[in-house]
Amino acid sequence: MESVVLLIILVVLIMLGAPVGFTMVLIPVVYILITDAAPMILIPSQMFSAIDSVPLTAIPFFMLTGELMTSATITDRLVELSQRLIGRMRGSMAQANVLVSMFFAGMNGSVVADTATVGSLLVPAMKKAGYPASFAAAITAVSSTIGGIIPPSIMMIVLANAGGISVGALFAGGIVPGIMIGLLLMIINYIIARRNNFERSEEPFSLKAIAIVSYKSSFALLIPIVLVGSVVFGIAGVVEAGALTATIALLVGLFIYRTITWTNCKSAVVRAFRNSAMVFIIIAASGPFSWLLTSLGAINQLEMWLLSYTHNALLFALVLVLFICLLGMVMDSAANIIVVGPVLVDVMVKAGYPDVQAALVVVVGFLIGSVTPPVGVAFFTAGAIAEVRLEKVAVAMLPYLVALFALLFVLIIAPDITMFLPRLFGF
Amino acid sequence: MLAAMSFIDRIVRNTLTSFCAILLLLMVAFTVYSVVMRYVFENPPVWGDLLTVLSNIWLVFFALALTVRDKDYIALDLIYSWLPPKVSFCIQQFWSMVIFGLGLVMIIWGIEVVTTMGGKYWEMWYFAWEDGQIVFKPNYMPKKYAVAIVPISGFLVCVAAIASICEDVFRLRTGTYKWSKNVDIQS
Amino acid sequence: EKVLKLGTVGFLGMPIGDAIDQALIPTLEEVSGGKMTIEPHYRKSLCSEQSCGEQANQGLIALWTSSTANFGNFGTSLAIFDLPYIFKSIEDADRISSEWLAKKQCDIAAEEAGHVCLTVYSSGGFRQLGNAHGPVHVPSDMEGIKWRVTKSPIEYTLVKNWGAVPVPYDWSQLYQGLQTGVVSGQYVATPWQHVAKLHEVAKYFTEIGGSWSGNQLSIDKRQYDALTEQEQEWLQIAAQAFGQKVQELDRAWVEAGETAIKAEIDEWYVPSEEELVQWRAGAIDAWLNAKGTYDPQTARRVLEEQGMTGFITQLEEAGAL
Ligand code: NA
Ligand code: NA
Repeated sequence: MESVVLLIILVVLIMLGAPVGFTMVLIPVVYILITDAAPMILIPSQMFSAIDSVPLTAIPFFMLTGELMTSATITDRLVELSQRLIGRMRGSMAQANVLVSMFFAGMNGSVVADTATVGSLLVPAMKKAGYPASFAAAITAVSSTIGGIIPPSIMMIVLANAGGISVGALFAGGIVPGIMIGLLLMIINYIIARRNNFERSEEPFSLKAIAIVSYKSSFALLIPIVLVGSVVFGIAGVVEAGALTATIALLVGLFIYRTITWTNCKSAVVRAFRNSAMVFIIIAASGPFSWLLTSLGAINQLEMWLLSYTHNALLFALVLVLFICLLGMVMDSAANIIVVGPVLVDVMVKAGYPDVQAALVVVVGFLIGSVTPPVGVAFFTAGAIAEVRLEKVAVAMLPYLVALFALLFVLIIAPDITMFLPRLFGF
Repeated sequence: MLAAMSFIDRIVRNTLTSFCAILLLLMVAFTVYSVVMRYVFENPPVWGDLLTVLSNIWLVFFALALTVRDKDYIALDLIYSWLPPKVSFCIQQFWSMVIFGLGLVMIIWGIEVVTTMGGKYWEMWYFAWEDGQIVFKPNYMPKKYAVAIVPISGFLVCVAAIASICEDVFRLRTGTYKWSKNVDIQS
Repeated sequence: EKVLKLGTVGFLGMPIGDAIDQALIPTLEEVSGGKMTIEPHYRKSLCSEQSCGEQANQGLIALWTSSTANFGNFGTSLAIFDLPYIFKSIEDADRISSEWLAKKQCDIAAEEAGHVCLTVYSSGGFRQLGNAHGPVHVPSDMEGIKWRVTKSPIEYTLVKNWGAVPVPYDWSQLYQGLQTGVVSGQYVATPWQHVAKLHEVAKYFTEIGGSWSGNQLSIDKRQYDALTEQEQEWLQIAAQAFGQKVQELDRAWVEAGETAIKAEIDEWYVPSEEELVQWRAGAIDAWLNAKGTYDPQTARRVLEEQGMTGFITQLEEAGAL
């Protein structure tokens, strides 16, 4: 009961505009001051312990890879490629937005980086082409969830670390759901674009033009190849592979594209450590909070409650989706994945699901949460880029979000979607 | 006076930023070195992943202070755009004070973490001060050294919180105060 | 009523967890008449291994378990348990440890390590070699193979002396590392290998039985000293009951794990006595490298009680005793 109160206070404070990370530390501090339930040393000690982990070091590596590739102007080329590929479709820029996110996802692991990078290129262009700003923000935000689902993925690393699951298996399992989400969003785009009579490109479809721009953007493929290759050939583990891809990204920018200068290299490094630190600050802040929740037995109670629904598979899936949706609305996705993620995985495993599927459901669900209003970092970011009121973005996102949660439900009841590739890779 | 303060502020910020950038590059370097030494030379260092993890931890705790200084933490600031500037100013200062308090917690109990930390890293070399000179030790670096970042970061967080309060007060007086845009947009 | 929080990687369904649940908690409850209770946190939910020891020192928890090797991060008092070939068999290890060795070393730990260890027991019997590369019968078969080691100086030098390339590698990534060939071998107690399914990707086993997989239950020294003598005694009685229970359950756990592994692998090799001499020879250098972390007199007594005169001579000649 106490723990529920703690969680509600946390949510209320965050809704009132409190900084998420610091509030997560503030609550255990105040709780300890009032109840003396644990020594205050818990706070600094668990902040440190929460980030003291080898697998988590992959996060800055993949952040750096994404930033360096962006500096190498590869994103511009991917946008051009996507527009060439589907320019003749109605709503072509909205479709390109999804397609770029799918390409971009292969070298970037974070939803927010995807929103910011793809958004800052495409949102201004979409507004100019006559799309409502709220729609441009909405499709940018929802499609960027793919950035965290198609590997590499920061949140998969976080959950694998917290739940003791193989990062490689999760990466393999993310590919199919990531592509499915992309296709689903494109179908909805198509319907909305037809109904609103959105633009389409007048440029003729040209295989030659596609070939040229494919060639120009082909080095984007190098990152997934290095990632998969170094792991498959036993050169490095998935975590170490992040350092290799960052090195390759730097080399491509320096010697092949020759677009990386001292200045933009410096700013790529700074952006990478800042974005990575943002995730880590939430992880560190969750440390004392989740220690306290575990120690008070709240985690156990939550588990018991969820397990009471397992007698009916469909009901269980429904409860799970609703629970993930609700938490995703009010909490940060990293915090959700660290504090609640392992419990959900545990519950699903006890209910008979494979742990890799369980973890993927949790990651996909909470990543959708980084887009769902009222609290969602990708949601804020997209709104800020499009310079539009967040309420309007929320309305424009609604059909997409309904579809995404429906897909999440399918991912729970159809294990083959998530387990097919991991099984093929022998996990 | 004011000029001197903002000069120091800028120096400290730039230094911390450079530290973090170097730590990130070191992480890449240590890891690539470990992979190459293992795969090519079959002689990997024992300390490879430890140094990578410690660099990351130090980076995060330095970046924490930078985040406080730039107020670029993750927060939902929707409500404040509807409030009069005076009110949002007060709320902003309240959160800066809270952060200052949390910085104090990190200093006081962080020092306790350092003093009670009995663990050691067998694989890590270090330097110690013995008999009036610096001595190289090949093994068993005390973990105290690693966790010392917590009180250091707490101190920097306190300083950063005070600096941003000073800055906000100055801006309110000169009429240039604005609720900070918390969501980071990459340029 | 006094509640002691306990942090462990053990879980219900394996010996450490079950012995906490079936012996430690009920015994303490019973002897103290309900005045002292234990609140267990299994499966790394609060901490794991070394970090549990740190949390105990910080007063966040009181009791904790870890391998004797991980206890080494707080000092060398339990290092003697990690010496390769100091025990001939599981039975000898259990007997000597529970008769006097655990008590003797734990008294030293209380002085040096800031932790009072209450009992030392086996978690999974002996470490055995498993690898994905091919049959390993003698140490020279390990030549140049990348072998995953924990960050224990004894294990590191042992594997190196046998001729393999010791690679410190994160436990959570080991399955995949073995599968893809980042590392090819590992040296862990067999039931733990079974828990982590390592035998699925490393199919050659060698039963060399070198290092005993010692584990310990401790309480932070300051918290122990704050207990009354009566309470200390209750805790010691409960810990003894726990130690006995764990010993009982551990044998069955090892057997079940090994049976399951043997059913799915390509080779389970039991070296001949001549081959074992070669394996022990590699161990002697590990003893030499570890010199200073153990008391030679104590080690000699352990070996003598098992009649291991040949090994004593070898160690003496090398200067390790
Ligand atoms: Na990705
Ligand atoms: Na997008």
